[in-house]
Amino acid sequence: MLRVTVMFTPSHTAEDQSVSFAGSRLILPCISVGNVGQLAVDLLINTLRLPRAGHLHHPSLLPLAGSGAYSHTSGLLHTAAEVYHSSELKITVVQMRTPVAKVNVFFIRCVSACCRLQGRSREFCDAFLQWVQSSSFSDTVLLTSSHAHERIDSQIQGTPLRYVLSPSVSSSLHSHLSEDLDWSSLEPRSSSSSNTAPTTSQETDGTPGVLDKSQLFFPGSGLAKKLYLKWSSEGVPMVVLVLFSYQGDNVKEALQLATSLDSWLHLRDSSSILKDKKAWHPPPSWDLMYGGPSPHSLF
Amino acid sequence: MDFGISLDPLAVSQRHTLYDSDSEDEEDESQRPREPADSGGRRSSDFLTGRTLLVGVGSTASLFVRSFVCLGDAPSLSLPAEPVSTVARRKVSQFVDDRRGPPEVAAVEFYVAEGNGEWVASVQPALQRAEYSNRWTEKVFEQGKPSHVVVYVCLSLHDYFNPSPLDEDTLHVVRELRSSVWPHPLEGVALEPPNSVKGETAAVLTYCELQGIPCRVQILYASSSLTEAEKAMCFLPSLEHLAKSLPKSLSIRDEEEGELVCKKIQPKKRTDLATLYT
Repeated sequence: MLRVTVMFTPSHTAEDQSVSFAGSRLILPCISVGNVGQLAVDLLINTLRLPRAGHLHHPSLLPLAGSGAYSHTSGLLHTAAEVYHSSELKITVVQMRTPVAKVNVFFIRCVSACCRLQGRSREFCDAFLQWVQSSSFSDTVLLTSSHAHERIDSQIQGTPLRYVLSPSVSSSLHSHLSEDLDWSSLEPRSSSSSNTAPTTSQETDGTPGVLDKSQLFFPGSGLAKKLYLKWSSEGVPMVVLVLFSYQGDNVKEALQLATSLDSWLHLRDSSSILKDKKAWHPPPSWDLMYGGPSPHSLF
Repeated sequence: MDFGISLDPLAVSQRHTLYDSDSEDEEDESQRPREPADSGGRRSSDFLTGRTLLVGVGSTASLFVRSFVCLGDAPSLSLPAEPVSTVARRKVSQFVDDRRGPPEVAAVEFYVAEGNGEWVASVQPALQRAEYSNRWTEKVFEQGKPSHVVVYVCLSLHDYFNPSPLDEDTLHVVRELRSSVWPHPLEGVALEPPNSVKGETAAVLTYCELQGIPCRVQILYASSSLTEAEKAMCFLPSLEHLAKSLPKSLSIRDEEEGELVCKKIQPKKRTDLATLYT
C-alpha cells in the first residue's frame, strides 16, 4: 500500500520560503455542521492578517480555487487547503475549504453489506498526522461544531462550548479551561444512549477532560472524532473545541468560537499590527455569503 | 464565508461529509483503491515538457478549443481509458447493475496544434465527479511539465456572484484566475470572491500553483439562452491575446471559419423528441 503524505508547498509569494513551524500552536478547523470552525478560522486569519506560508495538498481533498478571500491577500490564488503562520503569535493556522473525497457515495450505500468500499478519511487523517508530527507543533487546537439538536438536557443550559483534551495535554490546562475560563468539558456519552443523561464520571484513566472512543459523541463534527482518536493515540497534544450549532446563518457561532479561542490564547492582545483589540474583521469572502442582490428584472 | 465547496448554499450533496464521524467506517486496507504517491519523478513521458498546454474543460470549452485552434485530425497521444479507481469499480460491478451509464473513465487525449508543435490541446468534454479530478490531473501531468497551461471553462451565469446586479441584457461574463508565477499582467477581470472553481479546473490550477507552472484560467459565465457556438466564441478574444503574448506561435481560425467548424462539430440536437408526444 502506497503511503500518500500531505504535501506542504511553500507559497511562491511568501517572503520567507524557509518558514519553520516548530514550537508553534496549530489551529485547524473541521468541516462540520454550519462550517463554524472554518468561519472562525476565517476571522482569525483576516483579523490578525496572518501571512500565508503555503498550501497543503492531498489526493483526497476535493480541489477548489479562487482569489482574494481575505483583505490582505487580494490577488492571491487560494486553494483547498492553506497554511498561515505568524512567528510573532507562534501560531500556525490551517484553513480547509473542501471535504475529503468519498470514493463513491452512491455505491457505498448499495454494496456496503457485501463489501467494504469506504471513504478516504482515515488515509487523510494518517497523512495529516505525519505532517503534524514532522512539523513539531507544540500542540493542536481543533475547531469544530456539533448538531445542537442532539444535545442532552445538561448541554442545553449554559454555554454551547465544550472541550475535549488528549491524554498528552497537561492537567493544568484542564484546570485553566474549566476554572479560569469557566468552560465545560464534553460530557461522556455513547451514541446508543444518545438521549440519556451523561455518566457521572468524566474521566478516562483519571485524566479530566479526556474521553475514549465509547464516550465520544459529537455528531456532525466531520473528521473531528477520527482526528482526535488517531492523533491522541499517537501522543499529539490536542484540544478539541466543540460548539453546538444548527445549520443556517452561523456567523454568530463563528464569532463565539473565535472569541472563546481568543479569550484563551489572547491572540488579538498579542498582535502588534492590530489596533482595535476588541473587533473581529470579517473577510471579503463573507460579503455575498447568501447570494448577491436580487435581479432588477424580478420587480 | 462562501469560499469553499461545502459552503455553497446549493451544494446539498456535500452534506454527507458532515456525517463522517457517525459512520465509523472500518476500512479494509486490502480493498482500498490505490492512489499514486507523488507524481514527481514518475512521469511516463515528456510529451508535454516545454510545450504550452490548452485545456478545455466541459463541453463548451472543449468545443471552443477544437473549433478555433487548428489541431491535428487525430489525437497525438491518447491515454488508455483506465478506470480511475479500478478496485472500486470492480467491486461495484459485482453487485450493482450499472444503470447510470458506462463506468467513468479517465481518458485523456492530446492534440498537437498545427505549426511547430509547441502547443498541445487537451479536451475534456465530460466533467467527472469532483472525487476524480485530482486523479485526472495527475494523469495529464504524468506526460511532462508544460511551460504554460491555459484552461478554459464555461459555467452557468446563475452561478456567478456579483456584488451589483447584472444588467438584464448581460448574457455572459468572463473572469480570470492565474497561478502566482504567471508571467504576464492580468488581462481581464479577476474572479471576485466568493466565486470559485471546482473540479478539473481547480485541480489543474492547484497542481500548477504547487509545482510552479504558469497557469491561467479563463472562466466564462454564460446564460443558458446562448447557443454552444455563441458561448464558445466568447473565449476567442482571450485566446487571440494569449497567442500574441506568448512567444510560441499558434494557428487560430478566424471568427467566421471557427464558427463554421464549431457548428459542424457541436453535438446535434436530438431529433426523436418531435414524435415524443404524438
